[in-house]
Amino acid sequence: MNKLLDAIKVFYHKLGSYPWFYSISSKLLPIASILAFLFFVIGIIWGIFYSPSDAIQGDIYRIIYMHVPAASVAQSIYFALAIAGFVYVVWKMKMAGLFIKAMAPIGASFTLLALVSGAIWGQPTWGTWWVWDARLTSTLVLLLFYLAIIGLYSSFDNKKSADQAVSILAMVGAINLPIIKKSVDWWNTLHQPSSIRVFEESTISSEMLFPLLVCILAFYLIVFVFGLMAMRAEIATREMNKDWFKKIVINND
Amino acid sequence: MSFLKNFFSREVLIYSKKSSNVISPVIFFLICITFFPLAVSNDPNELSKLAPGLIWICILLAGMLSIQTIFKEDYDDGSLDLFYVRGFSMLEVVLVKIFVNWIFTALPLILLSCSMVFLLYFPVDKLFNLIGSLFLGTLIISFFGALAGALSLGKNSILASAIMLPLSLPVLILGSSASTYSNENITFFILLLSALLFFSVPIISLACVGAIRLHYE
Amino acid sequence: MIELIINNHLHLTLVSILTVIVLLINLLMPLIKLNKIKKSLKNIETT
Repeated sequence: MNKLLDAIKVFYHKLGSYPWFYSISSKLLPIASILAFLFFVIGIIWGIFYSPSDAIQGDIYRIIYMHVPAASVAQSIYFALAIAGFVYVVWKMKMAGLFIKAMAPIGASFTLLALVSGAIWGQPTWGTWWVWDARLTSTLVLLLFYLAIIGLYSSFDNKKSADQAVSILAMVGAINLPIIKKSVDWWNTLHQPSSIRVFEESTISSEMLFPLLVCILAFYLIVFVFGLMAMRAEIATREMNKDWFKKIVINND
Repeated sequence: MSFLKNFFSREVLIYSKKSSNVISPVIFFLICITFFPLAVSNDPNELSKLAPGLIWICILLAGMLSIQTIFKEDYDDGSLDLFYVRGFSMLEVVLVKIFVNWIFTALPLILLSCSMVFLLYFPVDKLFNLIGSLFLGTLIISFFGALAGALSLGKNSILASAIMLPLSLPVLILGSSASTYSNENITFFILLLSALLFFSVPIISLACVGAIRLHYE
Repeated sequence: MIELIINNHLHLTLVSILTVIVLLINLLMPLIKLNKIKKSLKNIETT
């Protein structure tokens, strides 16, 4: 037990160092990207060409294989940002600040994808592009939070203060997000439009569920790869004048 | 205790000397409210239906103006710097500043929104709900605004609003519903709003302290 | 019926294109950023 704790401690301290992360991520990246690519191709092809078409919606439901993974990833990234913010505020681990900086644009782009693909899906199935439904509204608010984080970060010249500010905002936003979700949910029950029932309770058949699960897994892997790449690029911008980074760049090729 | 008292009177003195901080949200609020009937409709039925939402949105937008002033002037002239260096308790500084700002910018708006009974045909029997929810809601908004202002000290003002407005969404929903729906449910909304207030005061004020500190690192 | 199918596929294609765009942007941005820095570092080294 103690050994495990020690190992975690060592890993944590290593995680705080840029050179260690840069070298380990360059080893991890090829494997992770191959896995992500494989799962993505399998999931998408399985979902779009080989899964049965829906009895009511026909083929249009296949948007689910891109929409649901994007929405799930968007929320998870925000959760991760909040944890990183907590880590940065409490332990001043510089990698956590870098993580927020690198992941926020990725999260924002996936949130946007979830919103737009939802709108494109909604147009033929419900007849409107947009409904003020609880889930849609809280996703829109999530996008606003991402944009606020990106905007706040870019307004600072000093990276250290930027990390600190963004960490505080990510934490407060994460505390507030469940409250927003609850209040939007509750507001939605008051204003329920009678004609449109957006999310009916439905069970998904396993033939559709398995490709969906593969797609979700693929999106998480893709985000992992993109996150590593974005963090490496951010490390490069922060450390471009350091000796260790120059050495790696020159020795590599 | 004497520090709190002195600081409180200092803040009150500043706000009473500089009246533009107090007047500009009021003017903004009145202009907004006046323009809505001109742009939407002058039908009393429609207006009284829209009134709670309009009042709340205008309050929120006016709050956007007033949050700029909470820390900005003290930051610009360096007195915030001095408080920090001399080791004053930043938590007390933050709390007093937010509270005084609320007294001088939000209270006039709350009093003014009583006049919406005439201007927007707001139903008189729900006035008590409106005022009660405004009291609690503007306090919460002040806290969120202070955090946004502290994070974006010395930056452009759009950023502060972009941080504050999404945070205050629950207040907007709860507050406007409290002033829309029937009188029997008012305790429910008031309880929810005060829960939100008690929940956010310690967290947001601590976050504010952290946000101010990061400008002096 | 035919109209419906065309319509459905149009939406599906649109979402697929969007997904690919989002993925490509996220893929290329850090690559370009990193390569730019590497190139400038190498230039400094050779001159």
